[in-house]
Amino acid sequence: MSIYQKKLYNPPFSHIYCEKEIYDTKKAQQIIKKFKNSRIILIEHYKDIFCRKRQNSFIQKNSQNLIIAKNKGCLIYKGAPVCQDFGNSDFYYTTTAINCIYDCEYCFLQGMYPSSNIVLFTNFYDYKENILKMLKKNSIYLCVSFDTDLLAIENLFGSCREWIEFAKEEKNLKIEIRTKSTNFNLISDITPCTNVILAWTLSPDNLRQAYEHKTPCIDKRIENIKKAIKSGWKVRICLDPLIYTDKYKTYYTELIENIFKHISADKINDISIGAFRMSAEYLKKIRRNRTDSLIINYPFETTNGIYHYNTEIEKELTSFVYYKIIKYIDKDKIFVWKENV
Amino acid sequence: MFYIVCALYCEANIFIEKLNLKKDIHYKNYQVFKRENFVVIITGCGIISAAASISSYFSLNPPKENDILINVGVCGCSIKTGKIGDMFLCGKITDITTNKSYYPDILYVNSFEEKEIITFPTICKDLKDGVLADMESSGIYQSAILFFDTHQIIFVKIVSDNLNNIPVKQPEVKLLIKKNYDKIMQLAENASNCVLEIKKFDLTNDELNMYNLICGILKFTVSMKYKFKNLLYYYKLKGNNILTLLLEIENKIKDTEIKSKTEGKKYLEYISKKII
Repeated sequence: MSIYQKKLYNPPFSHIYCEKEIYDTKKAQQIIKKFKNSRIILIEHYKDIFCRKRQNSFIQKNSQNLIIAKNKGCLIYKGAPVCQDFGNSDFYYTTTAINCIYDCEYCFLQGMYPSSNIVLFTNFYDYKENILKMLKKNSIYLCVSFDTDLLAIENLFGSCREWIEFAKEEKNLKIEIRTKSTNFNLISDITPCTNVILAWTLSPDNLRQAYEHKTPCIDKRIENIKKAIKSGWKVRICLDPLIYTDKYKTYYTELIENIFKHISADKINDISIGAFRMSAEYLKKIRRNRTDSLIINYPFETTNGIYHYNTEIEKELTSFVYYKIIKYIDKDKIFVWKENV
Repeated sequence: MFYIVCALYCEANIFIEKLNLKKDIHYKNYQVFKRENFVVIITGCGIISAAASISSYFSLNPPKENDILINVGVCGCSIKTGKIGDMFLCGKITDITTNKSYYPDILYVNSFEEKEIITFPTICKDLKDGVLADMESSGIYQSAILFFDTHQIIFVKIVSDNLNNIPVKQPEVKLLIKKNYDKIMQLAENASNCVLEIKKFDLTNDELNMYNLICGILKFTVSMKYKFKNLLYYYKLKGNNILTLLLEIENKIKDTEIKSKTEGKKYLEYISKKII
């Protein structure tokens, strides 16, 4: 029985920390009203709570709280080298929220941030202004759900809707909304937009059960993908990270067969595949806390500050999945992280 | 270990009595009472006294990651905020002199009402509604956070006066804390159960001794030792008996004389292939 089941921890979002400056804003109040039983604590700056010394983000995950804030720092970042750019040269990412309600053992966010509380930035207008300035110079490919899972928290934040509505007006802006959620119904009323890609991360269900805690099962994610495609959305499937286990061949074969049994290959915009990799700094931090995680404590190799499977395994794993996929879908639609194939 | 920090003896008295704690005479500048898993530290009044006593005690006795520190003390507030005897949990502590706020995590299920507490350097006579006042909390937090994580520190305050200049007598304070003793201990037990659930997976002493022996024979460098330990750790996580593996490796290498780093590397590669 988990600790949460034993009810030793407060339920999620029992406390909401809100910056005083934005407490009275419409957006902040919309979010706060959804949590009638939560205690509201006013703060000066989100970092006063998010960046406190000596937090244990792993314990906090048992009782995540919400921080509502205005992002006054950097709003748009250049895409990180460990991320797939899908052939887009002007690859950026942004985050209107930090952290995720899911608890994936391999997630880099655990190593990246000092807290697992979820931060929601309500100043979407500032993000828009920044992007509009950038769009005057060139077109942009923007991932908006990297440091979080926006669709998973759509019911309380509504940020996917904001991004999609914005993208509709800016044709030179292409956005990707990546998710593991099954919340497509929350945006299914929006007319599909050609410059918005809805990207679902899928893993073999055995691996999901072992490592992707609190996430919806793969069949339900596939159902959501079908619905999104049927509604006319561009859908990307992300088999990233690929996880190496003794039974990876069976697991990934089953997953790939399952995907193409339910989804017509020609309806998929593209597929990305990439073996697990993570910044050494993040992985070391996660290892200190996830001492019992098989995936995190795998004896990886390190190159230029990035932990990854040894070249042989990485190539074997990626190639296996790649050659399984090309049986169903055109090569041009497959994006492989690193040139392994 | 469960640490109870109080400013005054009368605040600590009920814990000393009920838990049958004995005074530790090694501490001269503040009082310490202890038995088995319980320690009461009486810091004296004021921010500096509280901070200094905590720093001193925990520098000498560093806490562990499954320890809990709970500050129990009396506070003042307006009559609208709370009546005498009401107990509150504090999730926000503001130091009035610096205007800086501190936020202990409130992760554990409890039946307490919550309020912000403001720490004053002198007795507070005027306070807005909705907040509590005391003279130690910010000092305790700032000092305790050098030794504990945010989820290990809990602040419980019991209203002893409504800022009406009527001095509170020591027996009354003792009685106020006594009335809330069970609820405080319940919260403490709950918090302890949560932190005790955090179990660290590690190699046993026997496994570590064997590991060190092999590292010595194979003259592993620091980074090779790290890689070797990671391999063993992973092998154990997969449910294997690493002592058997280590004995097997030891048998293979016991008469080997390693002359260079490259030779050691070859053995490490051999072990790696065996494990992955």
